[in-house]
Amino acid sequence: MRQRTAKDLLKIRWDHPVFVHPDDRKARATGETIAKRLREALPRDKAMGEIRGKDLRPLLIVRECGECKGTDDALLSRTLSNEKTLLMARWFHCVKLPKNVLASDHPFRNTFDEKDPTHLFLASWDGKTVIPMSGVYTQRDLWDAMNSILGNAYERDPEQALDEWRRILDESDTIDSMQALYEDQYDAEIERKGPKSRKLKKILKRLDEVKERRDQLDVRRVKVTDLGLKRAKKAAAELVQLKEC
Amino acid sequence: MIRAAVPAAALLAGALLLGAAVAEASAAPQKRAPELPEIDPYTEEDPDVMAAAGIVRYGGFLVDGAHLTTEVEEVLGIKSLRWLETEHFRIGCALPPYKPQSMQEKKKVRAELEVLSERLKGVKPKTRIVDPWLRLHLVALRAEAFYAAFLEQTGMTDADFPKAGGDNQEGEWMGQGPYLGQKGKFVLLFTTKASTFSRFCRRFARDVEDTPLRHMYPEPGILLYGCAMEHLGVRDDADTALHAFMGWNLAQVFSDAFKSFTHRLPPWFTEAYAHWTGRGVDERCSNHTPGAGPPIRWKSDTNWAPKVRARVHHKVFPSFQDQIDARDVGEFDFNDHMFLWSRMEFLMQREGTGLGTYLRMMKGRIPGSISVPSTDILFRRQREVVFPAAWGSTVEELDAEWQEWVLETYPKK
Repeated sequence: MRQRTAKDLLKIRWDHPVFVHPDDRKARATGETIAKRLREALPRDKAMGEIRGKDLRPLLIVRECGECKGTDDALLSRTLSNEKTLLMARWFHCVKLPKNVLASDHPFRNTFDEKDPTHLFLASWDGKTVIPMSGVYTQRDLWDAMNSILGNAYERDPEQALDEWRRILDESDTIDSMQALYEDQYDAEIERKGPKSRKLKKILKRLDEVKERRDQLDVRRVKVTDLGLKRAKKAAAELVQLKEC
Repeated sequence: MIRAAVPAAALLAGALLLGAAVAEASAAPQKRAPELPEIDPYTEEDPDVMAAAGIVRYGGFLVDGAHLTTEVEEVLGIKSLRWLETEHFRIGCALPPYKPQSMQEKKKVRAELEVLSERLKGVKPKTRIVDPWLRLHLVALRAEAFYAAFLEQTGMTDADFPKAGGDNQEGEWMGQGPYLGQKGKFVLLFTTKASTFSRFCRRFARDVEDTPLRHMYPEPGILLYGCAMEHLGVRDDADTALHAFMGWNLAQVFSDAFKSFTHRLPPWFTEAYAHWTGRGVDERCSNHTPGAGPPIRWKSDTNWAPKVRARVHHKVFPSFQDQIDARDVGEFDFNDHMFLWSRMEFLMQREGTGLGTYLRMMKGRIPGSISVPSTDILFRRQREVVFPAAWGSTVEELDAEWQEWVLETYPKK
């Protein structure tokens, strides 16, 4: 059973983009009132640009449906461990689009295939390379597709980082359990015997040690999970070039 | 668009498949929940029944002061969203049908449905499943109950707040509008999925990372609170938890709204009053306030009174003075929250309307001034002037009284 820190690290940070017309955005900033405009589907490039925003990571896009009921069936297995999928998803910009995205006038309609809209697809940051996950597929198929996109987007191999990341999760479980134990011991002792209890000093020392281990683990985690986003480096180089001009 | 090929799936016997559930679901005939009626079956939009139930209208209003309910529906794209306006609230609700689990929750919901059955048509208090329309009515009932309790606790009435803003007859500035000093009615939004709520926030409020939201729309003078059931996690008492968290958050919203949301109150007050209100619904739902404040390890033991007592007995607690001087909610750890709740419980059982006096003096403008107080002035006034006026004693005296009260009142176990 994963503890608090690991659970948090295994949580997908979903982005839920909504299209705001530039005029509406301006009106919101200035407080102006404008006439309601008719909704229309954006061209695919523009829609992908709106969804991407300023995030340069590759995209993992899920379309919600009436049957999934929040269980993300297209991405996660109901019976197998999903840890690897969840960890790999951290290197993607994970986007969830609503059920009605397939309506012909939905701004993001054209991000999906017209005839065979999948529930899940993976894409490069610019949306030019797409891997639709259609029909029935195994977890292995999904990981292969994720690896294929990640391999092009990042400098380091995600598979190697995953092993180390799992070790970090295990260690953070140990640290969380120890911290909870010592905190509970401290509370129980102080409520039973008060601040003069001789045990308190020992417990506080242990808590300090746990905190130090956690700090060290955080440093390791940041290092391990940074695979080096190629596009971010390119964008930084382009910015430098632009400034020099 | 370049489409890369997916490697052919090796469909081994017994292999566990993703996407399969989706594919099967779309192929097989579905046993669906009955369609949610468009029109409220409990009033059938009969004006007399609506008036008796305190319902002003169903939708067709501006949610955030700029966008109609239909525009919100279009963005969220869910069919289950229902709207209802009461005397003080505009409510959007997309909660699913709910089956109370524990005996305690069944009794609680049944008592509330008894109240609704006196105002609405065809409500069966003994129903096993609370349908989405009834859940909306329950939200409205609870919201108005919290509002009425707040007025009673502060010793105020709706008439004390100006219709168009300004001073009362005694020259006390009472805010900008009739809703505790706010111009607009309070807005509540409850959804099932966190993604739906997140889309609402992104389009009509501000970006939040998968958490509930309290939000101020300054120009229309509207305060919003909303959350998704998914924010509460998987739990057996989900409806009770929703009720308690609504109380927790409305306590903060009402305190902010009081005489207009011109400045923030010291964090001790908003946290303490919120805990006291939320735990008043069910103390078992008190250890978690999703999205509010810093990430604290909320402990599973919700029986706070004996813990507070033990610490008071051993004189291990922060002074009241230190707690009221804290400038940031992040300064409080789990134990601090327990003491805040206890101190508010102590203050609320005293005679008089100390809460109302505290809020009247801490909110709005300083007498003789046209501006709101700076943070330094606010905290100094709180200590030197407001506490003695509200509760008849200095902070130090109250702290001593509180300790005695805790030792006399709280059980050892």
